[in-house]
Amino acid sequence: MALRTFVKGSVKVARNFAIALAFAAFSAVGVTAQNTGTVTGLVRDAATLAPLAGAQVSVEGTGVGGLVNNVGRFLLLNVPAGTQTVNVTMIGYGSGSQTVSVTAGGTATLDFELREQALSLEGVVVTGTAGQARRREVGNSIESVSASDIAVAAITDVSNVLQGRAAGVAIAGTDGQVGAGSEIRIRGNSSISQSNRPLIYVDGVRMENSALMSADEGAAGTMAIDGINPNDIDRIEIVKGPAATTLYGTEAAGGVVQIFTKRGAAGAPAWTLTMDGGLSRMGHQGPLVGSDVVPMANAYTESHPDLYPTGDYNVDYMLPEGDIGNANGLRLNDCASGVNLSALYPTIDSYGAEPGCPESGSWFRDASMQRVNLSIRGGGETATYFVSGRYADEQGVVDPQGQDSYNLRANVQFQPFDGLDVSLNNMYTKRNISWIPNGNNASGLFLNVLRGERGYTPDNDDSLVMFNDIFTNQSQWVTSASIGWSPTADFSHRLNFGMDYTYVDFVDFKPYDNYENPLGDRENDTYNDRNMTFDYNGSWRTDVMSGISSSFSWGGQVYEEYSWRLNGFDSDFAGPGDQLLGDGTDQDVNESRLTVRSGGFFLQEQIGFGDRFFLTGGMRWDGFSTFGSGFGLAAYPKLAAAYTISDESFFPEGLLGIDALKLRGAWGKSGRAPGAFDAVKVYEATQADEVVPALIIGNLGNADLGPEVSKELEVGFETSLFEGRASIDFTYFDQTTTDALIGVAEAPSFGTEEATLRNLGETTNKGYEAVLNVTPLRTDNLDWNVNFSYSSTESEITDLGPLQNAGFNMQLGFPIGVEYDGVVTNPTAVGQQEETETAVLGVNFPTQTMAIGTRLTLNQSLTLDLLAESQMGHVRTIGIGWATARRETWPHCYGIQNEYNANGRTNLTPNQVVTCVPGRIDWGAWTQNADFIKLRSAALSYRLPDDLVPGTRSVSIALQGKNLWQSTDYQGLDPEATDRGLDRGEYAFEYYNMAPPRIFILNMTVNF
Amino acid sequence: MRNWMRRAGFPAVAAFAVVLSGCDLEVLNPGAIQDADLNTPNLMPVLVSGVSAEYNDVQDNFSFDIARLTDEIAGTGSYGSTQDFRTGFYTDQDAEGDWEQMHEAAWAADQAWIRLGEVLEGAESSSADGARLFIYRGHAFMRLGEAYCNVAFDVGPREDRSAAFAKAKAAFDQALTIATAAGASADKWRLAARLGQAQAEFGRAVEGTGSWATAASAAQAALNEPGMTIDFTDDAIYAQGANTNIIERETWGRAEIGVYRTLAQVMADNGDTRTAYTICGQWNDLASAYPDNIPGGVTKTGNCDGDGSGAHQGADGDHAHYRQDKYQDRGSDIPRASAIEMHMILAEAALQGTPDYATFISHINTVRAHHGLAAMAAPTQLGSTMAPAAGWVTGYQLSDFDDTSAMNILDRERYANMWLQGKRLYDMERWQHAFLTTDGWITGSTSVEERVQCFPMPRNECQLNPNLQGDPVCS
Repeated sequence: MALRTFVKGSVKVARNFAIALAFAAFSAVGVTAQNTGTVTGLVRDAATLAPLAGAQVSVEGTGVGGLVNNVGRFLLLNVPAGTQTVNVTMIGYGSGSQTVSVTAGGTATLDFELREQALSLEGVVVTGTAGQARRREVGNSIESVSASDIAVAAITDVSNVLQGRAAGVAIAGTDGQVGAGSEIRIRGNSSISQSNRPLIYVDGVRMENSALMSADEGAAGTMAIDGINPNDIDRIEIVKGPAATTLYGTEAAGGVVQIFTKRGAAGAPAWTLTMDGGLSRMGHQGPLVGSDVVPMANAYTESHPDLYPTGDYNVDYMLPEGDIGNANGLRLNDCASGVNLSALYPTIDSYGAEPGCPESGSWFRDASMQRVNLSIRGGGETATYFVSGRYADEQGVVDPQGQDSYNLRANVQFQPFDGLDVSLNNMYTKRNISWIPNGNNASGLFLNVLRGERGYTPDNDDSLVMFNDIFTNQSQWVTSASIGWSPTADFSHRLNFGMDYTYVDFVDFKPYDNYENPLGDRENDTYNDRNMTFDYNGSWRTDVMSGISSSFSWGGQVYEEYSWRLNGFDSDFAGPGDQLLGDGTDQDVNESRLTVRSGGFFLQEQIGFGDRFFLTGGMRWDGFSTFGSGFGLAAYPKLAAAYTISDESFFPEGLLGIDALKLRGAWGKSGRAPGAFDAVKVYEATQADEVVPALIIGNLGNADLGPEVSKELEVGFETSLFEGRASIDFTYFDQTTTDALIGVAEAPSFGTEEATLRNLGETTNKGYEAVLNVTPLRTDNLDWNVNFSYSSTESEITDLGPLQNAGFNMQLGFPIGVEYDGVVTNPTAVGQQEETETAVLGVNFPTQTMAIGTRLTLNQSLTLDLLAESQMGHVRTIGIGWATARRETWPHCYGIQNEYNANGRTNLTPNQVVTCVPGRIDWGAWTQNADFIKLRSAALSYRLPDDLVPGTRSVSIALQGKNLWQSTDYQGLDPEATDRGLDRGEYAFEYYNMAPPRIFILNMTVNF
Repeated sequence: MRNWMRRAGFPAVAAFAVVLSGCDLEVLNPGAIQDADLNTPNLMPVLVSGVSAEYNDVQDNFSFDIARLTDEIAGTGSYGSTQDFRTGFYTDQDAEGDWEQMHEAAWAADQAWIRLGEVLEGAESSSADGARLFIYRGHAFMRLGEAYCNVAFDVGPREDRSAAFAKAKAAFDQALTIATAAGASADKWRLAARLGQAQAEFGRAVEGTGSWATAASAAQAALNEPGMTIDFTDDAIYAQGANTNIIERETWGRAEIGVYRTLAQVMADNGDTRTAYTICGQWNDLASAYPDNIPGGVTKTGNCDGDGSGAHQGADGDHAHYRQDKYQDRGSDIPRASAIEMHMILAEAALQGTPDYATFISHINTVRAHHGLAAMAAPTQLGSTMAPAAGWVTGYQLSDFDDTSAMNILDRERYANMWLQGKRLYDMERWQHAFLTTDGWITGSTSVEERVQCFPMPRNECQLNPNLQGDPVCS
């Protein structure tokens, strides 16, 4: 294209866009004509009366039609006079049809209320497909979470949206501090050495999916996905494994989460104001009475009943019934008063009030939350927009922890002429997070409080740890452009390009005159991460012959991540003052810059038979900057079939109440790339002797290094039953990862300890997912829906080359990521010395998830929405108990410790000794099943009667709660509190981390 | 318009393909140095310093491990390794780290020597850098021989540990040759080579492949070397801001180990400055709580500043912190070999065969005088530090401090002179030294039947070395 042509075109496009924006406030003006009339009305959700923007309305047999605008209104002009049938369709909803009498020059009114359909085979998805496809064409499982699914739920960040709302997706919290990120897993873990996190896309642009910064002193880090304003989300699509992610190529083996933000809709500006006020509250920590202390068990104890002749494989804690001295909770709850334990446990020290206890008498506070979100949506026929802004001030439950955040979004779409659509999406987020020192470090609040006088603070004044000034300032900018061009209805192209850019400024500052380091020190970590995506795909659909269609797709992607980081440390300041880096006398600085680049092509062909059976085959080729120079391209094939068998004439109508039944199966491959330097032999600069420059071997390299390749077979079905009253979605998957990347060293006597990454391992991972959706009651005034989902994963490391393990938590023959530690082999031998061995005690990541949710709507205005989620089949080591019991300040152990102090081990079993006796406590004894069920969200929402508030379209009020209830046998603070992350299914344990608090939110949403 | 768009569709695809195919996916990330870029003469000192860094990186950890496995120090921390090592529990996996790093230090020296040959084209044989490399290589072999029950080199079969001393001896011999050829620029390394030779001969004498006479001769030769003084040490070097001394960190920053109820404490309490320490915290109710359960907590004495637990209390929350003062800052160096050690070799050599107590005590007192300590009378009997029963189970009490037999004097003097230098395990093993069992304070457990006396063959060596498949040391 010549420059002049390009400029002229651009000017024209800009002019159209400006005109569209200028007139966006005005609705289309009806034009009457002789013998024709106008039909107008509303199209809304039957359960909630929410407007269904984008629904298609048409007058049967006339060619007259249009779209529902942003407030749910449609306007059809030039409708021939007479009795007409008006049809309405909307993806995800059942269709509507009504007749209306149209008079010449008159205006007829017609309102529709559509109900959601659990199984919508005509629904369009784009994730994992080339371009877009109807669900009936797709051979793999796709989960979708829509804005309506979360409209009334208690949501604090985007990770919450996925929690319990998609089968096979597990969200593991890492810390209860506001702003702390969560780990996302889809179908568990399949890689030993590489990230098991899914790829995350936002409006077609890849977003950073790793922890942006781990605040060591705060024991928490942030995730980029949580920088997205949940109010901006239109829908989330999730494809789960290599069978579905082949077209994403290398690095997509962990699945793909794609977030689509809201788009504009034609119509006058529609404003939505959302205001949240709330509070967070931490519950009672630790056992209230003796009966709350339940015995601990794990996979090893449960699989060795022979070691427990009495049938009870657990520890008797020798605690009295009733009061055990923890009525007011662990010292975190109550620090203003002491507890006299001598009556209960004569040899256990009583403890008094903590000198640094806050005036409230508790380290926890009722933390407030305020959030305001304002959005506007509108546009004309050629251009639409969605603009939003949010401010949130969220306190943590320990002063001064908390987060201020600001979100801005501007999405603009325009269609300058038929066949061309352009979308521009921009997001800016600023998060300022203040952490408290916590977790596994000597400055940690929980550590010092729970250890009492055995902590590190002078005179047991734990308020002194708050001298640590730890904060993260994070900015994110995600911008993307999407250009769709369809020269004909059957021939289309789409180009997406954009950038995800994150800037993190992390500071951990111990000012001058603190008790730990009197001269003070400061760490500043500045991290920049830029992800660039350039993605193109095209497709050509055609009918090969009668009843046989073809859809040929092609495309490619270039992706680049560039991250640079500057870490500075300084200590020993001259005195109070600015105390910035450079002001001290002991400075250290490290800089890193890293670029990873990939590029790939794909081809795909889909053959459709009678719009019922679709067979898809495809191939993706990838090059990657981290592959070895001798490796070449990675190739990932895929094959999928989808068969809507219920559309066949031979399918018995009404069989078992089935309305629609789709069978599907998919097989495909995807991969994971090695790290930036893994393939090349390099030296690293270091310092030696009295700080002179030195070079040491960094990596030996492996020129043949390639990606590990995961292949997956998944089969399943989707069915709708009883006229849409029920639906079932079932999937079985079986993954095998070959060429798994394993760090293997030569025998150390060769001379170097550097492990070289090699493609020689193998893992398997299989499981199933089931989703059941039922509508038991549906009347004009009552709508009751129940959802149930269950998923399982079962992984195994089947080959480690010459190794038996790849780190202690990766053991050959066991699942990926296990707790491998000491166990007692004579647990019940009273009075005897413990005998131990090392064994696998369980899996670190949940192997089963279950969710049950229900939504009850009365009179289209009062809605009760509940969601409970359970994570099961995993263990967690209660490091907080292990370390605190050693200091005789963990209530569970008072009974055993009292007995030991009085009589030694004479009356104790080895199991009791290794659990509670200081000096003999074993880490493995504190590894426990961590199954739990939590009430993730409980919300009661009421939509005020229309017109009650003048000038508004609707007003609703909601009372929401998060994590209000839980049930677990886990004996730590919380089964979700985790020290550090779980990127590779690694070692997971609790070590003085904060539990997720209960959150109460009062919400008001005004549409005007 | 529509026709134009249809015609333009395929060119657009083609253009995109061209764009993609033209992309260079290769990335040259900064920060890492390519192997081929190192072949210039001015980089040779940097490369040799890297070998020094490799060795230094392991020496402090090696000393820390051995301190925790022996009676040099008490465990007061919460590391799993500390708790295990105090009970003498040391597995083939525990043995991996020091093994890997010592081998890497030796290998890195070898690789650097090859490159020196390629770049300096003969001049390496008379360069200080060349001598340095063989010093590092020799000491890496020495530490392997001192600590490991058996050794293996170059993915070869199991060998007796004397093979390590032989390789060390060869390395030190070459270091001396190169340093001598290098002249004054390598004086320091010439002295270091002499010390290394004596250390290697000492090891060979202990293992029976050399002789005590040869060891004594080498030690005397070292002391006679021009420029040698009694306070000369060949150090593994640490720095405040770079590779820091882990023993300092674990005692001045964190209280993972301490001096309470060790021989070091007793000697220091008797005025010996070589094992100086500071009381950072005192138990509140020591008498009632002894031996391993201190409910009353610890009171800070105010004698110690520092991060975290180092100010007063063991990191396990169970112990008051008695801080070692030998390594007082992050840059405190750890001697690999010293002139004082030569006197210890000579003293011990004097006790072989018919004991020469006069020679023995003269070397002991030479060192004591250097430290300002009173001279000791010549012993009249050899004595023994061996446990009365087999193994290390029982016997040795701190009250043995008063024993004036030659072996007990030698025991204490070697202990004090080479405290926290990673030498104690070999002494305790070769003497079958009784181990402190004072109510669990030092051992941390009464279960010491299987206390390790030397490091086992590391598990990863067993797994990855085909020549060790089926070897009994790997079973």
